Amino acid sequence: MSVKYVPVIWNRTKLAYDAVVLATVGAYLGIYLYVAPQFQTVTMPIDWDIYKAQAFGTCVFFLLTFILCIGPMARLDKRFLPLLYNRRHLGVITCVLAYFHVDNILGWYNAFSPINRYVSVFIVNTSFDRFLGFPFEILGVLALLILTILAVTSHDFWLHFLKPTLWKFLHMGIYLAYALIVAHVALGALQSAAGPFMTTAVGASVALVAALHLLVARKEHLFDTQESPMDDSGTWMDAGDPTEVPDKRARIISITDDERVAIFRNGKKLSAISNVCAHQNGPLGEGKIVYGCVTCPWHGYQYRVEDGRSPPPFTEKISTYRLKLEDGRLWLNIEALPPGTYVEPVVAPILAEGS
Amino acid sequence: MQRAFRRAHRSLWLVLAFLIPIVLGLALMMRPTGTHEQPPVPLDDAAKSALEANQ
Repeated sequence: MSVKYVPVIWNRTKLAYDAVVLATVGAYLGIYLYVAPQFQTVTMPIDWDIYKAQAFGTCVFFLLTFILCIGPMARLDKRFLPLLYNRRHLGVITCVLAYFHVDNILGWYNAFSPINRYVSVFIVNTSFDRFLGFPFEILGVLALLILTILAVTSHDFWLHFLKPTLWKFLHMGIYLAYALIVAHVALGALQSAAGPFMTTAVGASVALVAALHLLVARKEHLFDTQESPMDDSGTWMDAGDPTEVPDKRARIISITDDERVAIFRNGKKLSAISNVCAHQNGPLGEGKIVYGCVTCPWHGYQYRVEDGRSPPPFTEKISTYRLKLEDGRLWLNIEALPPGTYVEPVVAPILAEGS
Repeated sequence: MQRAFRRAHRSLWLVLAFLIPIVLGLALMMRPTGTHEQPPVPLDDAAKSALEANQ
């Protein structure tokens, strides 16, 4: 969080994250380019430019696979949340590596053409009516275009400018980019792949990414379709046994229509706020109370649990909800109050440890 | 909007989870087999003498 414009809010975690990513990328490229060739027994070695293009291309593919696995893995297991923290930098690095791949490809395959090498990519192969032989280069160009748009708009400036919902829909373009890259690889590099390694790796990547996303989609769908009983007025929803809400943590309730609400316990006090972080729509209910404030598990944005406001000097605010206790049950009023509205917490004893 | 986003995500992946493996599978099944190397063609007498003359 920052109260004034800062291009990148560097901190130790981000620096460590980026250092690990750059070291891993460097190690991958170093092994691919300098170590692996020593173990190859080919009579005709591949040209250095092609080799570099392959190294960058495969690196981009594996990085993109990893990026696409982070989201669902963090939804399935909180231990993966730290990977999510600086995922945008990972995406930007992937985009930069994709440009290195393109530079090496154009510097070799399109360098000997009398036509401008950037133009030749689009006109040397126009077999759009064929499956094998389809100009797979175009698929790569489209994927690169999407990666570039996402990298450029990954900054918080664009997140604030476009608003989180539109920004998130725009950044779903990463799935389209991935599909285009798989097609680009399948119709390009895999057509002449010598061994089974790349074919197996691409197949495993697709299976892993698709399985993780479908698993999370099913989990979310099942949660969304859970129905809690309502009272006769239709405005209060049964939110369960208050003693079962863990201290400093939340129970997430899917309310009618659309949104989710997080009911937090802070000692003996219970409060309900929107489950949606104002920053990037992160799931606040999966975070915890740190120094008296609900802390988003994605990027650490904080809100006071009683009024949904970020502590000064920050200005973010989210909707709050009313709670009441009746016959030992907790009831949630499903009508959202304006963001930042103070609501007196409900006092309910915490379940004694071991009881 | 949150549920709309989750719906869009689910629909997109239901499509991609079928589409991507189909494209990948077709591309792999239809790819040319073999090593791309042509078997050596023995030279006839005329070609041999032409080659020797050049050498």
